[in-house]
Amino acid sequence: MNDIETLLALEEIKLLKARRDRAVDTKDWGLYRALHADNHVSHNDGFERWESADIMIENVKAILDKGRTTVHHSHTPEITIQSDTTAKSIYGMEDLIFDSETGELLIHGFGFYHETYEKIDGKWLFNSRQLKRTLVRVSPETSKS
Amino acid sequence: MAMDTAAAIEQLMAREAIAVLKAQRDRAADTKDWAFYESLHAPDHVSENGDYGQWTSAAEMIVNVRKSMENLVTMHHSHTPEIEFDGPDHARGIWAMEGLSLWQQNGEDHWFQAFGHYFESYERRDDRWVFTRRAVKYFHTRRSAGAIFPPKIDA
Repeated sequence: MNDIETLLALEEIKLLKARRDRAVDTKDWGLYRALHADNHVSHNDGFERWESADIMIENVKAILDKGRTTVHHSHTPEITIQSDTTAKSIYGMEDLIFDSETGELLIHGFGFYHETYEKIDGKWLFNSRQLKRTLVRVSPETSKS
Repeated sequence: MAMDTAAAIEQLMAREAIAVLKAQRDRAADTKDWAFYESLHAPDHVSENGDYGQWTSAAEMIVNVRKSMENLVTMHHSHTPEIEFDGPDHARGIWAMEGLSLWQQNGEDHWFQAFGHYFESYERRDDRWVFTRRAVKYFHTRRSAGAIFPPKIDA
């Protein structure tokens, strides 16, 4: 890849990442699924490995679709283009998960996404994601009796 | 590849210019630099926001934005842009956002926090990128107990 192709690939991967964060927070599961390769592997702290995009989407929906309002903000990517069709990155992240009914802040988390990407049929897609947490605050605003 | 080299470089440069435009808007809002804020927008800029409805010029926008933020300390943070081009001089962007407003009400501290997305349009006019449209859609907001928000601006 020449320099310009590399710059364009970086932009496409950043766009992919932005869409994923928006898809999860707006619960647009069709869009979310479409951003991931069929053989996508998820390995997030606190959860078992999900070995395909279909298994991932079922689990993500079950955890977040009803009763939860989420905020996923990603920052300061470190993206490495490994070949014409493969790349990896680390993104700083912060997430907030609220109870949609009561408004209680259930989780305030911090960490880093470690992701890999593959260009399939001319489109960059996620093919793995591992969330490594540095801190999870559980119900940090709820007074403990 | 689909794009030739010159077009690719031009688009990469335009992307950076739009990101700077966005950064300047957030900074202008939070430092209350209203002349700077207005200068980033086309005269026929259209604003749509849930709180106050639609404003159809930059002049109308700046009067209202100024009033709405007069008594607030604000934080506007924008993240992870999705910028797409409709030709060399037209683009659309979606930005994830967090907004925090802090103010005093009857001597007490209050706050309002919002999470959502900005949906924007940009145009290159006279060789400079400017905003031509902005809508903000929140998917979650919260506030201190008893907070009066948004501030009244029609008085």
